[in-house]
Amino acid sequence: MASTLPSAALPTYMPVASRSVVLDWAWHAYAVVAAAVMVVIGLLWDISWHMSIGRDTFWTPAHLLIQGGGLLAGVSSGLLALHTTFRGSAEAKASAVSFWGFRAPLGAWVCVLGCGAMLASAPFDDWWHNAYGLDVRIVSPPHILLGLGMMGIVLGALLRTLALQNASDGKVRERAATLFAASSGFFLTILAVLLLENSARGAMHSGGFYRTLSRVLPLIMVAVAVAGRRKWPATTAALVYMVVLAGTSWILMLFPATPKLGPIYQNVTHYVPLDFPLLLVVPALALDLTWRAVRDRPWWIAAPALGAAFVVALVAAQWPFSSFLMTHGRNWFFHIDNFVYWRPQSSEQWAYRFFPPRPGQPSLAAGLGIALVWASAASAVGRVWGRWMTRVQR
Amino acid sequence: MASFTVRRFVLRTFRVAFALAMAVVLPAHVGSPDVFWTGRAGPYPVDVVIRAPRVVPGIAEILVHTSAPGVERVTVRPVYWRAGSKGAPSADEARPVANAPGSYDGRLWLMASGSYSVHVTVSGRAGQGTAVVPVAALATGQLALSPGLKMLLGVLGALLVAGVVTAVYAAAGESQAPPGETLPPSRRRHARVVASVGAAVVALLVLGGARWWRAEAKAYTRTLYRPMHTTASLRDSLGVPVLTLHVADTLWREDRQPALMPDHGKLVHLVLVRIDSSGVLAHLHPTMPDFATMRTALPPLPAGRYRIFADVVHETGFERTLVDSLRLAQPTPATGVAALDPDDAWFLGPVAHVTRAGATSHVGGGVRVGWLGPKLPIAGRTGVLRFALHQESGDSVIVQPYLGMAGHAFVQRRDGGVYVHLHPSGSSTMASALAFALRDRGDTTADGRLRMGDMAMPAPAPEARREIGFPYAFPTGGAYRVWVQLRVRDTVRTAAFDVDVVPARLR
Repeated sequence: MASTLPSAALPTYMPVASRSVVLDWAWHAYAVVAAAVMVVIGLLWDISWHMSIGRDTFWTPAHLLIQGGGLLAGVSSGLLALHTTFRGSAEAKASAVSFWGFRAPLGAWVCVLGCGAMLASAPFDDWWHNAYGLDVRIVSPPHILLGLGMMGIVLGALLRTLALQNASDGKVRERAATLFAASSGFFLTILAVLLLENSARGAMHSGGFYRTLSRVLPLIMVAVAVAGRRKWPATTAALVYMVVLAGTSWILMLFPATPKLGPIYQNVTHYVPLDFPLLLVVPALALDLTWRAVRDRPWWIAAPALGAAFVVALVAAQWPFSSFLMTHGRNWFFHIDNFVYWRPQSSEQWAYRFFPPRPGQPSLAAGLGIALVWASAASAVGRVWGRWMTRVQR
Repeated sequence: MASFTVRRFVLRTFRVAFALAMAVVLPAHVGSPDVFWTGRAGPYPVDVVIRAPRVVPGIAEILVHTSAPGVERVTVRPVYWRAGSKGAPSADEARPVANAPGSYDGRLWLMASGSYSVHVTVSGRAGQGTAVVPVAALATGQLALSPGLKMLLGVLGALLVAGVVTAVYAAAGESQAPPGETLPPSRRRHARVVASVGAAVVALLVLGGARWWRAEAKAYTRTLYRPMHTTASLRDSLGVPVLTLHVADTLWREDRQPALMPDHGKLVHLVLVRIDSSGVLAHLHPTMPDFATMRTALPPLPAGRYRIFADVVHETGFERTLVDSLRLAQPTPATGVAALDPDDAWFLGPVAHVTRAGATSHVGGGVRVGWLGPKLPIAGRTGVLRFALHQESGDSVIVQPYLGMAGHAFVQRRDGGVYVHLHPSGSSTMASALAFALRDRGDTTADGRLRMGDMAMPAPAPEARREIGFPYAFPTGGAYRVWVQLRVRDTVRTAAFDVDVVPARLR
């Protein structure tokens, strides 16, 4: 009946819930999770906006959603901190951490920092456009600052629900564990967006693609597998990522949009969607299963096992799926034939082919071998992070 | 991602900082980046001023003025050369300017480097008409970080860094303690160690970010427009002094540059200006024996140091000014005159100084040119350089077309930082306008060459005039010299004026 693991099945380093969590803070947990949803969906919408319409101002709906999410997380966390510090009960103060003389749960502080980074990036980004030109790339220093801020918001939501999950039991724990898995899915979505420029469909038959993903994704996926108290935490997170990304794309494609910037080389009539999500649910399931087998093993057994599980499952799923996409993806479901408005029609043909190997690049076998090494290293770090996460109670 | 409502204010403040912090090097018209255009949009006479952005992709501001009655709507649309009209976004409405009837302002997003034409469409009671105005989108300036913004970012950055380190300390320490229990000292030590490592990592990230910023700035400076490298040489060819301007730049190759197109029958309009107070100017039309060489005989000019400005137009409508200098050790003989192009003209002085009472220049043949306005020009103020034309007999002057125009004006800041070649229609060449008209015929012009055979540059008929005007705004304050050239009774006559321009005040 329970979707969470019973206490007896937990390894010895995991504490058992000893006190009732302060439930009158639950509104804050919902608020920061809602803020995480706003930030992630706003980000996906904004990327699509830039691919379809091009021109924006500070006040477009996508930006308002992101800014609203940031403010919601920052202001609610700030209010919680003020309340706890000056008017909180002893029990409330006991369930908080100290930060520059104020008290609030750890997740709240991370949200405040995330909100601060987002606010700081605004004047920086405006100056950057005046100095170096308007945006044509996602990755620039002010955008990275904004991205770190957004990740801070989502990480704050993750930590907040994590503390709730660890320090509670029964129904509250179940709900908190679900919110934690969902927040991890949002964090995974932001990571995937940051990797967008390296995860093109055409690269999915090259070693470099798997190497890049192996450096980053196991960090969070293994951590979630370790710390989540749902039965399949990493799988749930990966499912959330896939549903959010695909769902946002399908919904956006229903709405009309016309490019307002030239040069225009495509006939764009509706929002251009982001690429179909990676099949991360398969390596996530592999990680969940592998973790059950190696959770009591030392790191030099567990990390390679997890790394191998990740790479093998990812290759086994994504490689044939990408071939399928190339041949059968030209429809609304997989939408591989929707191009940004500035892509010349002469270059469209390259969207349906895999990149040929470049001279000087390692062979596929070597690339996958390197990916295995990276995945093991990332899994080791993810395992440490996950074990730290299991001990977070505030 | 951004464009604040306070953006306008910030932009205006930065514009002043630009003048101080920027080295402005431009493709055409040295030091004078804005485009001035006077003409017609169908039945409506229009004046257009475009302030091009200093960075690309960037936003240009456009001001359209029409004195025609019954105008209902003005729209503006930037068309990138390579994409043509089909690849241009829909037009944007230009809003009427408060307290300035007939004036409309708008913004143009110029997203790619290169040659653009702006379609200005005016609709009203008399119908609809479109004017095509050329503008070049090129990165030409570098913005400095203002001290206020530097401090703000510094303070915010310091707060964030301190916050992150504190959060790491709390994460490694107190957050691990069950609610209500205090942290054992060993765990507190452990948390301090982790926080120190965290601080080191953050410091590395900040340093890495700073390096990245410097790399981006460097990459940007590489995209800044740089004038082509040229060499100028003088030699004696059978007694005739010949000036050769050679474009020695590696990028100036026929396969790398769009071909040049003639402007009123001339591939190059070359102007020699003596660097002193004499006002000596030679307006010559070299031939081009090959793509990188321009050659012309020289008229009799006094010895001295000269600046060379050579205007060319590419088939993309892109106008370019090549800049060089030349030293004449001795005055050039008159033997060169016979070898000159029939449209060449030169002027040896004197220069009239413009005062509050104006100024007059006698140009020969009983004709006087008077400076009508502006008498006290202010930098940045858009207006018209107006000149009165007087005949001794009192009749109006019959002005014949010279190179397809009623007149030409050359504006130069005395230190050489500004040079513009103006016409009564504005700062753009007719060739550039024609290039855009031919571009949008609907054929595959973007990949091929323009069919030059269709070109017809109509020249105005001789007309009686008492006045001639050139739309312009001086970009900076300083001492300027303005030459005006007209053809009267089959001779090109030149008037020269020195005028002091007041710098714009901080608004």
